[in-house]
Amino acid sequence: MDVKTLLEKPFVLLDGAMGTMLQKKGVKPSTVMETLSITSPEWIEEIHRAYRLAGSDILYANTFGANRLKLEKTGYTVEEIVSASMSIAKHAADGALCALDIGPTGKLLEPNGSLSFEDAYDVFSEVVQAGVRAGADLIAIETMTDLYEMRAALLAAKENSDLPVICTMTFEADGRTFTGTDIYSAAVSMTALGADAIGINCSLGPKEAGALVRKMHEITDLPTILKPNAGLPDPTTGAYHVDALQFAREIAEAASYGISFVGGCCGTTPEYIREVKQALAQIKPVRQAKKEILFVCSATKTVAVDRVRVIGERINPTGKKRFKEALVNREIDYILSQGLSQVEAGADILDVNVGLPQIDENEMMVTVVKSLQSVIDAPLQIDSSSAQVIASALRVYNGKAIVNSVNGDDEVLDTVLPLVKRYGAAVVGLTLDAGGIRKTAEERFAIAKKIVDRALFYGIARNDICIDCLTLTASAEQEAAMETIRAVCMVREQLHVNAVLGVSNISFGLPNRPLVNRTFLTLAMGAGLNLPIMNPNDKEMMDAVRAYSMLSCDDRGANEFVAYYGSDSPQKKVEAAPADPRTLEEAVFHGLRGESASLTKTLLESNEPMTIVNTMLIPALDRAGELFESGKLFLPQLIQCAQAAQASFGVIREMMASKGEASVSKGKIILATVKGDIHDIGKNIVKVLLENYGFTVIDLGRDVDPELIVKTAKEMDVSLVGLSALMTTTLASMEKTVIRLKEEKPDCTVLVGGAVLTPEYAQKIGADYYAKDAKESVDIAQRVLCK
Amino acid sequence: MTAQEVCARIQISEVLRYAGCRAIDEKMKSAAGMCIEEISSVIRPRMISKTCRIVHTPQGSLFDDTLLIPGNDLVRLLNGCEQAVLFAATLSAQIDTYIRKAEILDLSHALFLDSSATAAVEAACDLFEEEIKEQYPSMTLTMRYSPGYGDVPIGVQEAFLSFLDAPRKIGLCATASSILTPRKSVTAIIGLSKTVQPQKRRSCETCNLRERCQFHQKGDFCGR
Repeated sequence: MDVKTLLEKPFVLLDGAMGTMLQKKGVKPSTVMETLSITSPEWIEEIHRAYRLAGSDILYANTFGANRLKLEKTGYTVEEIVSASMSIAKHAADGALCALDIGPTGKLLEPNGSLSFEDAYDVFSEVVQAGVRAGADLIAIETMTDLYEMRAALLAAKENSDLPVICTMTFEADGRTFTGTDIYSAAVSMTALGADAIGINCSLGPKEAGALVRKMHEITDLPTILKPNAGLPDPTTGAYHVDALQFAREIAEAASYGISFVGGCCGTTPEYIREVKQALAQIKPVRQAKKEILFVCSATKTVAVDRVRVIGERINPTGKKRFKEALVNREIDYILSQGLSQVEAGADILDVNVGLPQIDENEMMVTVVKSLQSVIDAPLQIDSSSAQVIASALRVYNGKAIVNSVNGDDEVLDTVLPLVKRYGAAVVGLTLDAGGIRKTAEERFAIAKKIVDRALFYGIARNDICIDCLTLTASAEQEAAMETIRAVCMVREQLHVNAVLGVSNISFGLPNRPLVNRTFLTLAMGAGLNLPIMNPNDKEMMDAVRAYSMLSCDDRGANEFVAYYGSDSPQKKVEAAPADPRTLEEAVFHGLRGESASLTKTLLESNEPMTIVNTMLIPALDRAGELFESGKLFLPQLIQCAQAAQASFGVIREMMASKGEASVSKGKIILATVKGDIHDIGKNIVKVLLENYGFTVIDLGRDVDPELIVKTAKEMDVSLVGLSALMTTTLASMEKTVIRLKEEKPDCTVLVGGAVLTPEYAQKIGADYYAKDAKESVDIAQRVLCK
Repeated sequence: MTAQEVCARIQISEVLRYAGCRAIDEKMKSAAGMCIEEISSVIRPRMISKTCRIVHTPQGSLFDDTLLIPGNDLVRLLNGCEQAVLFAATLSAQIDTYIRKAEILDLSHALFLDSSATAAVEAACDLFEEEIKEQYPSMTLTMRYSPGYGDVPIGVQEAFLSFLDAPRKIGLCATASSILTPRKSVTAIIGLSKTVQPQKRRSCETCNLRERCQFHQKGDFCGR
């Protein structure tokens, strides 16, 4: 039987547990089960045969943990274990198909752990290649709790083989995995990335897990899989309580809702599979209906584009001097704060554009995408004109993104659309081509149709296509506004795709821009615009979106509208207004951020920026610092004070950037938590303090490779590097970093700190300075850089 | 064990101490209290444990004939114990993300959240320890002892977790540098003895971080 024939069967019967069966034979749970394929192959074969006899159509080979990370201490190679395991399964198959079984690496991926996505991909690629050589019929990726790890494995399977891939993840009763991925986001991502069937294994009993798989049917049109445990394990004995008959009954019920691949996980035996086979004989198969809505997602949140969804436009350097400065100085936190404030204001999706001629856009895009997805759950729209940048971003993005953009140009279409398909993204098509922007709606529609046809040709689903009919500036081309509206209407009604539109361009050069923007947005939504790209911090625009959603009945019963605008809606906390006007120095000293910023604005009208910094900010910080040193002020208060100073600095920098003046800087400092270490709150505290004393901090983050630190120090000519380590196990990598820095950039001063360090140890590893706390770091920086 | 139960156990003074406040100030106290409340909807406490037989060997303590943990301090602690409970606890990954986000928006808030979460994982261990006491009413329990403490190498984390099947059962893993991930997690051993044993407390005298410990340098103590 080949896979294609098998997939056409109404139900596909998988096997049951391997570990449970081996434990019955007396194998200790701590044994690396995969090694038994070499030491006791007859046991493995016997189990496979028993499942085949019970009716399994697919046997999972004994390769669940056959990856280099788990086999490290066994003395066997991946090739040896995979080849032995596949060969046993094939020997026992008797007409069944043999799946290369891929389970988790046992390490947590970034950002929660320290295994990088790229390394996880390599680990899985090795397994897949070995499986292909050993003659696997298909690949089964299972028991994943981290969507990022699932993506790494699925991508490795797709890029290293032509085999069908079936994917299952493991959920808790609340419908989330340990790392927080929800059912929808798992289903959207696995479907988009090209799995052949998706579902759930392990986790829970058949009833609970079956209900969760049913939710996947709302999102996916793929066949679904249910391979649950025999109930939940008893907390003290670890035994499972759902017997074979009950198990089969519950599986059959789930199958009647449209689940087509069924089997068992922990606690199940061939008896369970036999009962399931019998129970299925009575069930009529149901196929999934085709889905017609665009779904995008991050690892923890799915956005269904079944109504107007706002795409935030603020992560983009175009026309923003402060943002450009942030890109050049690698101020990733500034970029993240732009993302967070948009989500707070109501953005559903964030557009991400980090293109600037003087930086490496590819590297920056990967860094920004990884950083954004570590703190923000809104799905992303990858915005770049470079196919390479788009590919790199899609590869590391943990979810289903939108690509912004292609246009009617053949070369662009044929370069970018295959990437969109390969990484399972949605795509924005601009209705222009080499001939520029067309005047009439009909001409733009013709380009839209070409883009849609080409996308369909490359296998991209119609609901994953978004067309941008382009907004032109009304002050320059007044007639164009209504042509755009007409084009939106045509695209929605005749091509049945989504409509994207950058809205704010319309008012450029006109007075009362907010009014023009809001009116145009309202017209466009009426014409069918469902993905406006706009500034969600613009209250009037968001008001228009909320009002439209209410009037169009997308906000049923006006519940959201009333909750937002009704009289008893919760008001945002505001900093209490001071009874007496304070000086900036006092505001900073008391950690009042809002007040510090507004006082700075006023002061800038009659004072030089540097005067404010030197005569008000620094003295306030010094006073706080002295009290901290003498134990009269504590760390949280010192940080609050620093944050107030930061708010004041922010105003100064915005003003200087807008005037095109270089920002105030007393010198550059690199900060990093060393390779292998993932603690960074201490380093971040040091960073805030340093910034407030006027230093430019290049924060390379945590778990940083020594080579990246050396490279950055050389490229940006930085003469002070601060390293942090919090574990005795990562001190070695701190030493390595110091040595590399001293070799490659001998004029560089190295400052170290962290809980496990001592001045003696700092000296021993060749560091120039040891700082016991954040305040001392500032003192040292002043000594080194302000000689 | 629910998040609410865990958070109800947290002492504000602990949170303040972790955050570096050595005197209690009302404003700081209220900030810490709010953070405890805040994390109660974010943390997902998960526990896994195994009660094991102990065999003392020259190489260290052997649990259920499978897991060997070196260290004379541990041998001393478990002296007179026939059994031990090995357990792992985590608040799960969501709180890590939550703190990362707070670090960008408001660092002092993040510091309190981080300290509250540290106190929460300790509180979860305290609650678990009480469960053990109830489960073994006739036994005396030793103090909780964690890898990395005394002369027990931190490098045993991975084997310890794998012995409990913690990666699969509660999503708790160790990095190559033996850092537990998710971050707010603990692994520990509690000895069970039929003969009454004086309750040994954690002390700085036996701690291998004594020379470097910031609490110790300020005349303070990291435990209770």
